[in-house]
Amino acid sequence: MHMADALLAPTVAATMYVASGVTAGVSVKNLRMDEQTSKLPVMGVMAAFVFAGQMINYTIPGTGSSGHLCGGMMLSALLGPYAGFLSMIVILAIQCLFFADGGLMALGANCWNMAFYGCFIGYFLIYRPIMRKKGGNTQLRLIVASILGCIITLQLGAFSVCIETFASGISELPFGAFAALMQPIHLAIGLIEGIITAAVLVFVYQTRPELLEVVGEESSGQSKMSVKTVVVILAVAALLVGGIGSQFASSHPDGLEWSLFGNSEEGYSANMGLDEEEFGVSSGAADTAAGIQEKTAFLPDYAFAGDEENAMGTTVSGILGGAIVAAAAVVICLLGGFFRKKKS
Amino acid sequence: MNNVIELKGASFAYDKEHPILCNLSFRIQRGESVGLIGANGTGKSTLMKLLTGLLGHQGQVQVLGKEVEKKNLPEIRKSLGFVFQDSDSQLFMPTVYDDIAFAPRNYGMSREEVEQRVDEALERAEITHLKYKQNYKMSGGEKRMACIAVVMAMKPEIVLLDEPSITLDPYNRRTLINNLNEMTETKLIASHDLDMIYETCERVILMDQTGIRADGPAEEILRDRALLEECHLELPFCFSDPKPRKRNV
Amino acid sequence: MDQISAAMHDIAEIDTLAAGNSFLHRRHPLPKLLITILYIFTVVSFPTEQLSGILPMILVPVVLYQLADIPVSTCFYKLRFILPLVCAVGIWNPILNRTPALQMGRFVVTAGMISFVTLLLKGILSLMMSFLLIAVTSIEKICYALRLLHVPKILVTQTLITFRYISLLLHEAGTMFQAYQLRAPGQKGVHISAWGSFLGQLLLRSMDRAGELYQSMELRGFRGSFYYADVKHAGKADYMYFIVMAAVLLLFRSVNISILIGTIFS
Repeated sequence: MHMADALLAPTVAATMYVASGVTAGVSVKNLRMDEQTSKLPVMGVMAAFVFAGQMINYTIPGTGSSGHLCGGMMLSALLGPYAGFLSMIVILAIQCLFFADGGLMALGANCWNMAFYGCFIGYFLIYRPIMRKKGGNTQLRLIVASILGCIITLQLGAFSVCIETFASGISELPFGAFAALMQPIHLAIGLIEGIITAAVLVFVYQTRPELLEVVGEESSGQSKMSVKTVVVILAVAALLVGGIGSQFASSHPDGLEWSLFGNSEEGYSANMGLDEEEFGVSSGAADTAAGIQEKTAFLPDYAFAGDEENAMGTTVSGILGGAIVAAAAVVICLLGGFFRKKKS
Repeated sequence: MNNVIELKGASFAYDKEHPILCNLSFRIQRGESVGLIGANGTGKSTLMKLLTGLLGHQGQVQVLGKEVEKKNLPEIRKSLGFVFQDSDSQLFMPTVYDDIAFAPRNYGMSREEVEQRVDEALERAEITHLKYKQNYKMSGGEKRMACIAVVMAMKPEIVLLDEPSITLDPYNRRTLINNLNEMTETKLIASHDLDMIYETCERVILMDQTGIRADGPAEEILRDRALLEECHLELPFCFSDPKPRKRNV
Repeated sequence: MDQISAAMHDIAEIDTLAAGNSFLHRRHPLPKLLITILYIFTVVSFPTEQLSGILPMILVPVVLYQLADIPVSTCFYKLRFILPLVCAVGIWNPILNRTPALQMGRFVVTAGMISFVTLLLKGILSLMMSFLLIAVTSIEKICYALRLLHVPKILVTQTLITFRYISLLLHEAGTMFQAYQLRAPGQKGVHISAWGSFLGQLLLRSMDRAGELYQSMELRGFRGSFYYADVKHAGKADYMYFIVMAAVLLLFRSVNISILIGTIFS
């Protein structure tokens, strides 16, 4: 469920960057100085391990398909939530740079959707409470914690994808329908991931139990902190999303409403690809850009809604111009290839 | 202070019931080249790591006249080079250059000094052409020589090598042996490659499950077929019969 | 194994590209990183109905690819991850929004179609630029730029270590999987009975490696600081690159170039 750059509006992407960035900052702060040194090699290698683990197909019995590993829960169980979260950031960053899975703009959102829930919610609210219960079969608890953790955190992640896409206003699909598509798919994915995670953790527990992050009383001093940390992070994130989101919605109602509910017939053709003042200018940079445009406008106030003739004119020039631009791009590519071949 | 390494009754165990090293005593003098041989699981690697202070121990372990304990570690490690069996564990930086420069930089040397150390180390390992090569793109032989350069950058007085010739092809192995023979530092080489040990070391320490089985001139120990076979080893190829014999079970 | 060898191929390919020495390769990593982010930001900030506005943005990566001496086609294979998702979300637009936007002879182009194409274009363009970044800048240099932006040291260092070990662990996982397949003919992936032990074995080996790695660092006086990549200070050309590119992006965002050109020609 890697979000792509294309699916995010700049405001949403920036909000998610801030949310994930704050979490990363908290995580760095929570790793003690000596841990930052001693855990570094393990974090580095384990991130690479999760990466390799993601490349393996796990055949799901009875179906032709295969499951994959995401890794947030597993890393938290092995490295602790803070180091786990940081490792997930590294994994997601490398995935987006080298394998074009996700995107640079969407990195913040991806860290939130895939790492935050798995590492923090999954660890503090599910994995640790279950593992701390006295008595009973430790293996059974590992299995329950892993499966439950993966399912719930993937549901949260998928739901966040829906919200982010919705808030970005790029899809005509109603929020409810989108969620209705996403959630069940991720229920299955979460279950499979949970089973994989459980299988690996049980294996580690049987062979080298000392590798599992200790969930006993030893870390109680830290742990009181940590539930609070999660709550604080969540609250800050909610405020951010609420604050920025509502401002976005109120200052540019057309942009959001048009794409989601509006389909306002009148004026659409006139605005096709032209009118920035009315639609979706939603970022600070774009605002400045709009300001500059006003000053430097080559074509002042083209295409008013209702002004049919004028609108047609701009539409035609839009198509013609677009075609020329596309042709230019092709020519540049061909020329480049031509010269490259000559050189070599 | 001619003894650069001195062990007196040194022991090590991960858990008390299964000691790995038991009551070891030996001395190594400056400039000596010592081969450490023995079957799998006799604790050769463990012994090496003991000397670096990576593992704790009982008894007395002295390196360069200093007891191997926490407060002496920075100083000891500065003059001790350890070449890991797995080159990939040793080379963790992006490029060879960065890896060689890692230790000098950590010890706070100036830019020029670091540069000079790197160049010298590359020259000693004869891999000047690999200076800016990315670590994960190198072949096994190149990696091994890079590891030696990494260690040489510290100008150590003692070099510990754990299975240096393993996974090397004959050509690279020969390069390595020549290089080892040019080293004037004190060397301790753990290996199953007895031919290489014979070519590079004048003294051999033979270990078995109980501790040090024999300690003496390489010429003597490596020619002692009965002793070697008893310790699950074989005569080096250069001494053995033209045809390999079947083991008597 | 397909996915593993594909991943290793991807890394190797990017490596070869990044070893080049073009105008773009020589630029300081920081302006390259910032321009890439700015470009993607600009692209995604176009509203979905502004196809003609976003179209000229193609020219930026196309020209830069020529400056970097990299064929544009190299990045298209990478689209296999991005496009399916973008399609899955965007395909509903032409279905749900049938408002006619313009008529070309008999064929009516709907608003939904336009927004779908815009969405695809956004996906392709942002990918083209981020691929270009990594194709002309080594990961060490990107990390260096991140340090300049005050990204925490631990994250940057970990990125370097992780990247160093990815190819190694991919190789190990690949070998394990081959060994598995040889004994389990006809299986497409790892069977459920081996999920735990297969991945678990790889995990234990990775943990051991991490342990050795730490020892190796300790023996060489590691105390938490990592030094790498000597990057030259930004020169005139770097500043110029940044300023020119930023200006171009601003211009493209504020003026609809397509319409401008179209008006001139019609």
